[in-house]
Amino acid sequence: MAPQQTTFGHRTAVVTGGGGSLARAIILGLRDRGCRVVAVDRDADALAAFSREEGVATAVCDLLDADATERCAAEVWRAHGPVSILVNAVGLIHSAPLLNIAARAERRHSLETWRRVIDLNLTTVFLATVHFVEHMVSTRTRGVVINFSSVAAAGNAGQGAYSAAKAGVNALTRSWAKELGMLGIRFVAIAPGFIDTPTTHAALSDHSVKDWVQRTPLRRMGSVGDVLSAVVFAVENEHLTGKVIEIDGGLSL
Amino acid sequence: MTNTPEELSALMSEVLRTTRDRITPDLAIHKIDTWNSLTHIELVVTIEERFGIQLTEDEIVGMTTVGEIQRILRARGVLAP
Repeated sequence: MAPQQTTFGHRTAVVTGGGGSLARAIILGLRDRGCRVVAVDRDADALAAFSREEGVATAVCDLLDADATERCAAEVWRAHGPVSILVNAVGLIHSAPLLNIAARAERRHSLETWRRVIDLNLTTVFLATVHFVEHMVSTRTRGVVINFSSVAAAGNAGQGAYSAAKAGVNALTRSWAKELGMLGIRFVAIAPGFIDTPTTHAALSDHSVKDWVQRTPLRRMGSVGDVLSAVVFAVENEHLTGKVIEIDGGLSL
Repeated sequence: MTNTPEELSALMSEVLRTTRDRITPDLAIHKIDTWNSLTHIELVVTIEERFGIQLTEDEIVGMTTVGEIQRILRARGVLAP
């Protein structure tokens, strides 16, 4: 007899960055566990993939636009609320050193790139959380906000902006856990190592991926299923808050 | 259930970590270090639990002094005159 799968009743979950491959696995995984899931992304074409998925609604929103995010949260709440699970899965892996001394031009890490990486990995977390959690607080909806961090939060050479953004995600997770724990709102960060997704392969060379796998005690990349099981754990364990769960095959040891 | 003003004072001195004699009607948020936007959440949650009510957003925003808190709770019928 197959093991029984955890179910979350009919809770509503919002997953940002819904167009990404990792987010897609989380969306379908939560849906399969009984949640009504709303996938949020600024890319309408990416969300179109959910049009035939029962139990998945979509909302197009640029999570760097504060007014649009406020409207999106209000509309999602009105149509599908109360939302008791928010997964901030927007992100952009980016590699660039502080100084590229091998180059004659564009040697410095550009400010434009810095802002883009911080915006997509950190500011989107702030904006989605502040607007959705405001509704949770005002309606006394208990729940969990799951933020996507990374092993890079400890500081990866060649990924300064990305590392800083993910360290910021960890800090926000702990700060907000302390601020809102009394209202039954939990905050958990999940810090994957190298996960076998198209996004990872697009961001890193094959050589780089092999190198990281060699440095990983479990000697393999993680799967989206590994990450999904951490999300499920974060949702179901109601005494967990303010923590970073590392799903990295031991890479950070 | 109706609570007494003394019970509210005890609750507030406990949450705001101050002595009971400082809990006077004119004591206002931000007038003591321990009553800030973060402890305001703790105050709201504790009042809701002890008084068995759920405060509205307007009430929470209006809870700027001890006197206002007393007025709001009396209007909700959970604090004795």
